[in-house]
Amino acid sequence: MNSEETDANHDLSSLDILLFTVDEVLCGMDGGLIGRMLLLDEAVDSKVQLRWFHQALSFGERPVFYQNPWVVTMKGVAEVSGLVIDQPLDLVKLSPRAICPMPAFFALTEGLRVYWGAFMFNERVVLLIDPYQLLA
Amino acid sequence: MVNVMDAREPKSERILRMIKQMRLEESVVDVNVKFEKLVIFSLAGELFAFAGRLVKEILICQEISFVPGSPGFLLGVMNVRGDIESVASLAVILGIPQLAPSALNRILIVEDDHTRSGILVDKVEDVIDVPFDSIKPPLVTMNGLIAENLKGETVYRGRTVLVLDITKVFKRFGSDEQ
Repeated sequence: MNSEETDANHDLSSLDILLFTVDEVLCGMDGGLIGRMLLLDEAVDSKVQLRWFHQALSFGERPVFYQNPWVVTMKGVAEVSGLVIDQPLDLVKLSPRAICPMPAFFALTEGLRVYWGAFMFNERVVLLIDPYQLLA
Repeated sequence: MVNVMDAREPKSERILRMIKQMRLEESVVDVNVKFEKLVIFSLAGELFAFAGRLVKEILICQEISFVPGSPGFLLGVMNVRGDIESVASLAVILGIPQLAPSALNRILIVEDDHTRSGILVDKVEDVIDVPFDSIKPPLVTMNGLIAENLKGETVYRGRTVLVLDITKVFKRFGSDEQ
């Protein structure tokens, strides 16, 4: 764990969660871990190495469309790497009490280890992802 | 003396006594017989069952959120009173056709010692108690995936019910098999 990540973990009373979608899947990541957010064109101009969300996590046979792609870089990771997400929706404050752990077998399954929890937002399930695993 | 009295007993009385005795014998329950509760459900027209003690809830279908990166048998996750439960397609696990969604579809929340998940089935048919010894080793010929997950078979209303071993079904969970 890098120093920035450790700093972000010091305050656990509430988390700032970046909500975003990829296709119709609603996801969230800890905003405290985000280095920069760039429009896709800006990221390309800055020669950021792109890791598309749907390439990191398979959508099976579902076609995936990005309507408004953004690129997030993470603190502690060289900014040459960025994760392409779609439609940043909101930054919400979340109490850790609102987070449900994922079913235990997620931690044992390739492709599912990236999810560390979930919570309900407007009656929809938000999947909390670990962006460091996606960029690894 | 007794024999003489019996010989004089009217035939109708003897018949009634015999009927009474037969009914008494029929009403005696063998308390040593052990029963297993089964949740019987259908999938693609076939009857299957899980041990009822492992089925924690039977839920009406609700919104299932797709989880990118999940293995093919996993349909997604859903919120059940504040908890996140996974939902798997038993049809995919058993390699049988997944019928179109229907209002009769149900999600069984099933749990063994290690794993817990929702299991989507076409329709729950019944919950019954059957004697343990009525669950026989599987005799019917079936495809490999069903056979691999089978515990035994029994009969329900004249139809064969394939009793599944949930621990075998859950072997797919938590493995890196996609």
